[in-house]
Amino acid sequence: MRTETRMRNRPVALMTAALLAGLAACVDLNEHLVSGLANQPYNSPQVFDALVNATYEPLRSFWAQERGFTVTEFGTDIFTKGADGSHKFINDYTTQLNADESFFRDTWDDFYRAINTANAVVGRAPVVDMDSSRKAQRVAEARFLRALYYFVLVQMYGPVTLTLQETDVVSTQTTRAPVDSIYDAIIDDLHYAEATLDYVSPDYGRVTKGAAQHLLAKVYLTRLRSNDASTDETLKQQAGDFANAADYAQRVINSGHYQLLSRFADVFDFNNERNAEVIWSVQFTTDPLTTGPGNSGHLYFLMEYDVMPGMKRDIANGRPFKRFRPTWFLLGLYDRTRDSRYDAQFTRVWYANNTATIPKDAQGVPTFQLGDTAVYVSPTDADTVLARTRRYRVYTPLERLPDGSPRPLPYADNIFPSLNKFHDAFRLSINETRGSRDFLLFRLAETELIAAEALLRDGRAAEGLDHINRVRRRAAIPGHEAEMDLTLAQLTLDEILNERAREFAGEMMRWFDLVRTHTLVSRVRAYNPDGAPNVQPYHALRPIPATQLQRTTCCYTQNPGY
Amino acid sequence: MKRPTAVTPRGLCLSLFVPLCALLPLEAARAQQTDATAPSPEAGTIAGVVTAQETGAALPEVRVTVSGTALAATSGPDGRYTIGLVPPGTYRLQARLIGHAPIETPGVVVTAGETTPLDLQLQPLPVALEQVVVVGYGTQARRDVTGSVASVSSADMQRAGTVNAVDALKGRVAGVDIAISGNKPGDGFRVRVRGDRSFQASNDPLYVLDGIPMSGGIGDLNPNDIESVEVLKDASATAIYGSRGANGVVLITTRQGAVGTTSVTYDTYAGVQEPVNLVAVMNGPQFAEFKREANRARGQYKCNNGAAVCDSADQVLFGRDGTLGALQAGRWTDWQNLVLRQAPEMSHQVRITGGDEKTRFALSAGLLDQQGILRGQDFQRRSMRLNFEHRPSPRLMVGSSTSVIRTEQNLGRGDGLYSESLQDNPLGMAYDSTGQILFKPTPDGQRVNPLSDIQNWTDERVRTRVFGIMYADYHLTDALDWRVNFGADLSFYRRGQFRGAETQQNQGSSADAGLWQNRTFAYTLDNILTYRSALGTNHRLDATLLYSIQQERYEGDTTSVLGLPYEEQQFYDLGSAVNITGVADTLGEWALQSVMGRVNYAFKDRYLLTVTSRLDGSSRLAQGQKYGVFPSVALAWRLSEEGFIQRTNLVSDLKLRLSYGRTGNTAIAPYQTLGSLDRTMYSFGDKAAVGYRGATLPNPDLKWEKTGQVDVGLEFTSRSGRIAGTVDYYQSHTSDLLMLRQIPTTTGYASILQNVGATHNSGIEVALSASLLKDWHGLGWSTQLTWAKSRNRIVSLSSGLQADAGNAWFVGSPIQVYYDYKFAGIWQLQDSVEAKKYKQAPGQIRVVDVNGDGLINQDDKVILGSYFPAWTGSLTNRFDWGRFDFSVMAVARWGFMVKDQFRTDFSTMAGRYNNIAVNYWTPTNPSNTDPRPNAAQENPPYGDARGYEDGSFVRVRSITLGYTLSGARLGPFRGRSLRIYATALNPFLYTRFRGLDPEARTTEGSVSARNFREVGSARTPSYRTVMMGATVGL
Repeated sequence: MRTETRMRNRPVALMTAALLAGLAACVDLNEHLVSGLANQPYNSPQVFDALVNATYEPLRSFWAQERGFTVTEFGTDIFTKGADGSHKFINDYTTQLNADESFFRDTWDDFYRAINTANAVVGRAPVVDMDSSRKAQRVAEARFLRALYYFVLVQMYGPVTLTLQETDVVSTQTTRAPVDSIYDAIIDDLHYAEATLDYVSPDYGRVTKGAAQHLLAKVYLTRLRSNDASTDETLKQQAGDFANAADYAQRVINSGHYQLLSRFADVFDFNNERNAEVIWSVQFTTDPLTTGPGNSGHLYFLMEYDVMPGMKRDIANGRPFKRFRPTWFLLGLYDRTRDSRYDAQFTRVWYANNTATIPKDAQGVPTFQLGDTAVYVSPTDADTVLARTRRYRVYTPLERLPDGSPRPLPYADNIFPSLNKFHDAFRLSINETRGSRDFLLFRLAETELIAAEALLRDGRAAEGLDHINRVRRRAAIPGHEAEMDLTLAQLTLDEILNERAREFAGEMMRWFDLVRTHTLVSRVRAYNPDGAPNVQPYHALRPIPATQLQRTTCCYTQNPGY
Repeated sequence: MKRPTAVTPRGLCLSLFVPLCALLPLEAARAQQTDATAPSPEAGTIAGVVTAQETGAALPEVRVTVSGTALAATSGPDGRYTIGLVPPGTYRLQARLIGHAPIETPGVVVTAGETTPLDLQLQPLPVALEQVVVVGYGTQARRDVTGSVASVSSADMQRAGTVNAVDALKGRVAGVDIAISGNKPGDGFRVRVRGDRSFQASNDPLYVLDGIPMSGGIGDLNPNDIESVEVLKDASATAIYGSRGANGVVLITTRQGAVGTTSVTYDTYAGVQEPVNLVAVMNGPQFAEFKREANRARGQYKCNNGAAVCDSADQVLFGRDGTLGALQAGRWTDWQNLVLRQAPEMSHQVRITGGDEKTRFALSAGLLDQQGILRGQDFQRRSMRLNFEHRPSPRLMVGSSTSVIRTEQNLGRGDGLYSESLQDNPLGMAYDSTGQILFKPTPDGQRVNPLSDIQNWTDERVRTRVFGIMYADYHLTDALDWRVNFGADLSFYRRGQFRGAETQQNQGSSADAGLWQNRTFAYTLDNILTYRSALGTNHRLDATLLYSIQQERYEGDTTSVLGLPYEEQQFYDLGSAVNITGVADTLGEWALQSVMGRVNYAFKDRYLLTVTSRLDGSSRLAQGQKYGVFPSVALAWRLSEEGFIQRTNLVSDLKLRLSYGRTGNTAIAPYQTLGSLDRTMYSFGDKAAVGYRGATLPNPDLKWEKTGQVDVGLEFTSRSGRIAGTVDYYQSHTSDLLMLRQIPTTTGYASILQNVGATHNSGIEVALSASLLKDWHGLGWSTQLTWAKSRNRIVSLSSGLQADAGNAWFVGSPIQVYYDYKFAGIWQLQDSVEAKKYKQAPGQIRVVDVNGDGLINQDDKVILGSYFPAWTGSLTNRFDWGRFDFSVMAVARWGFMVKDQFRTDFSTMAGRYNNIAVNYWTPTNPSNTDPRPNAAQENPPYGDARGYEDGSFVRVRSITLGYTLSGARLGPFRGRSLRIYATALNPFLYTRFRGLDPEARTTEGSVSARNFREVGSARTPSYRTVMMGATVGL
């Protein structure tokens, strides 16, 4: 036990050794983030480019998503509620359409985050070490996107917070800026983008000069100067808004970079999404790693075909959410004898794909075969006769026969002609929600209609007529082009709204179009039976999210009526 | 040596038994050692061994006194005692040990110059007062403890007969609330010591296994390896764990061998689990009528003659999805019955413990195999442990405690499987005419045959954990000890998921798979100096000084793919997939550095003082805020040592405790102070465009969340030792709450982690145990009661707000409240005018218009209740009669609200999916509980309002009947002991709750208070287990 003795003599030394042994293992309490980046200043061109890319990403949170479709198509004159979904009060304008609605909150949250990202691009650009013209382009892209996000916010909520600087400290104080100053900021950003960018970008999908011009035209056309319709019209004419709108629309049309396709149906051909009519589109891909939430437009407009006799859900026919049902008004807008757009964008026939549920007659023989028509959603009541003679299901519009007795197979909230513009037969699996189509946000047909409307409202209807007729002629069933022409007398704002309905059904414009033209209340009352009893003038603005009111220290006011 | 035959023939057990037999001769040899103490010639000596009556184990620290004299001795670690210099005569001997019934042995004759042998046997009291308790960085005699520390012994744990160590603690400690997180095999538990106090940081207690903090709870442990569990509740006890003590500390000590006896124990049980409290869904005819009514409500079920039901309308409605035939034939499927089963469960464990003066060891191996009550689900745990301790010299001790645990949880589709069986159309058929499983019982695009999911859906979670501790303890001087502890915790987790084409997920299109893997390495290094000294007769002092570091490194990665070419591969050939749908990996690291000091001082053994302080530095906090000091002080007064108490002759032990301390909580994710950028994904054309944008703002001021706690406690044992108890009252105040403070999103950010707000907890805890009958005609009856009531409320919120409705946080209310519309029944026909005001119609759910403004909006939401129970309690009764023992334990959780997501999710009233069989409203049935079915909506408006329910329950946890034989003949050889028992676990549940299980929830383990509001949605029924088991001692 020699060791022991020695140690007993030197307890102090040993204690010291013990403590030293511990201290030698002293740990580093500083943090080093490896997986991910810390929120710190930087000047690297790669991170700057990534910041610009991040400014684009929120496009995918609104356009081509359930949220965006719901707040732009529900509660309008052209779409009403189908059977499924949880946000029906946005269509019905009942009291549940209030500050707690998640779609209004999420749009607000996502776009303000996007704006803060754009602000970061603009604010940090000076210190970034990058080729100056490329840097200016990136700043222009970010400023365009900032303008676009503010444009949606100001249309939806009216006066809102306007910040053009990146947030670096927490503040719970903010105020609602006047609508005018928001439009001034939007136009300022767009002028910069228009002046800086080119018509063609090496990266397909980046913002271009054409996109900036189109959006400028739309912003001028939309800019709200008074809540009273006729005062608004006069003030906008006096301010030159319509002239500016027409000017920028015609710059796009005359740029030589875009042209209307000869067939309407080709615009939404799955294999032709990068066509000459597209000015700018929100990008989606076939790769699940890069497509984000995907274009989910294929889900919402489909009727419930998959439980019909002889049918089952498959990839080609799509996953039917039966969310948005076209109103009678929309279906009635098309003159099917000369306008190709009804047949081009509404699916009405489904072909049998499920042997197991094909009905059998008394002898046990299937009444039709795989590939035969299984369901037909007829556009006309005249097909009642067809319904009685065919062995497959034929649904016809009216609910009651002329004698008042119930018709066995009428349209319903789960059965209706199904808008197929976003149809995506190449999804990865049957229930896959991520579609791969680009969402065509700006296309030349709209530029033409913006020009037509701006010229009309600027007192130059004759100039405008040519623009709308180009769109109408293109939509004609071949041989019927001339019949599609409108006369000068027929060119009214009402007719332009109808034309926009025919052309852009489902393209996430309608609610904005109605608000912009002060026709929301009158058109919903006239054409949307579910929204009609409840819609009020105050519904032209959406409620400010409750979270914004609760978290702001003082005085963020709610829009009237909510 | 003959092979034992009375055990199950499983290969594992046999192979472990055979080599053991070789150890038996060693034991015999050791028993022949003789005592070397020589008697003095003028006087005699009394000597012997004190052992525990039940187990035969040696009992140290037993005070043996000779009545009427000052002669006394204390037994050593081997249980031996020697009282020398006893004048010849006849004496009465007393033996005392806290936690044991004192015994007296009269007529002990002592002869001069001779040793009178006297072996003593003590019986432990049912009273849970152990002699020595683990208090963190050391042990203390129970009577010296100044803080609120509750102990649970291995005997109590074992009696629970449960697969999970946490489960075994349930109802054992007042103020510790344990609830299951699910009923799937291998599901975890949620443990709260004295309630929730934090918004954002974890509310889980700190688990310390053999002195080393263990992340992720103790669910992996084999309960049979546990010697004792101590729960530190008040701040005085937990402050030595400083920054991690705020939520209480659970100290687990694993079994160690005892000196002198090598014992082999074999534990086994086998049982059957069966589902209880099933919820009825509609059968075929009920569902058909429900579906008709749902379509009547939207005008799509019409009969020409005005009849309610007609063939023509049935043909349209049921002809559509091919269920007309089944309806007409009266055939329907009980899907629940197809997926549930009676599931077997079994466990085997072998334990060998032993040792001599120099070496002690405990070796164990265990296997648990639990099948789930849902087909396709099971859980296995295989564990091995070696605890080893050796004294190379009298001053040095080295040891190790190492375990390897592998768990494998197969969940298949998990809770979704049962959901599928509840929602599937009962008119659909499970099998086709050839007996094959029909993948799609109906063409509904969301529903599939759950039997197909059982076959084609794999979700396998495998965790391998190596927990190794090594320590060395050196007596520097007689009073001073230096101990070094090193503990390493390695864990490997792999979750593989495969979903074939024919699953609910993939609907027949193509198979997908995902692989999640993570690796965690954590270590702790402690240097501990302990000083113990008696300063004169009246003073005792012991002091502890600690320097400790802890670090953890976590790496994780995940890959998911879609479009696998062949299904046999499961998730073992991800590269063959058509699409990669996700790739990610991550690294996280944190560190903690601490210095701690503790002084225990006792004056005259009756005035006790403990002062501790810990300095913790955490990497997770901001620069300049990394260090925090956590002090505590506690006083205890052993009143039973005072003459005025002793004269009352009422108590043998009475202690009053008072403590105050401050503890912290840094259980937030690392890197929060730096602020972070989110990665985003966009594309230009088909080119990926990865982006980064601000996700959180940096907070350079982030600091410790602190809890100050005052505790007053009283511990007593009656004079006879038959009644004992503890009463504690506490108040705690948590400030600088770590909270995700919500900020206006117009800043571009939704929240920032800040120190804001404060909460207040208070409560009272009572633990009583009594030996009601002691050998009354051979019958013994003991009972234990725990009861705890606690109250939690928010004292302040960020920016001085009184209410944060967005988070459902209200000053003066508990952290967890339900804030929603209040259910007011169903609009009846006679209310139609009133209903119209609210744009509603008869048959729809009515909620209370609180402010009466004719609008239902956010102003009409009210605080409905809290998940926080008014009180919790447990009652255990144990009866002994001869060789039989019988015990019953019940737990209660009373006065809390549950948001019964189950009841709303499975009662969507749309007529598309099957529904809970509720009494729904129709124009002719004025139900006031459930709305009219309506096929035009996915969910009824205000449907959530139906789901708030009182969750109070009393659950009989276990009933056990046992039979014990000691020194029994077990077949061809002699064993030390044998106990066989039958146990029913969770046999009965008494509740008014209408969902599946008021206790269970889907979220697992460590959830923050914020997420915890989403409860009651567990989708696997609870189950009872009936098992038979045996413990064989060799």
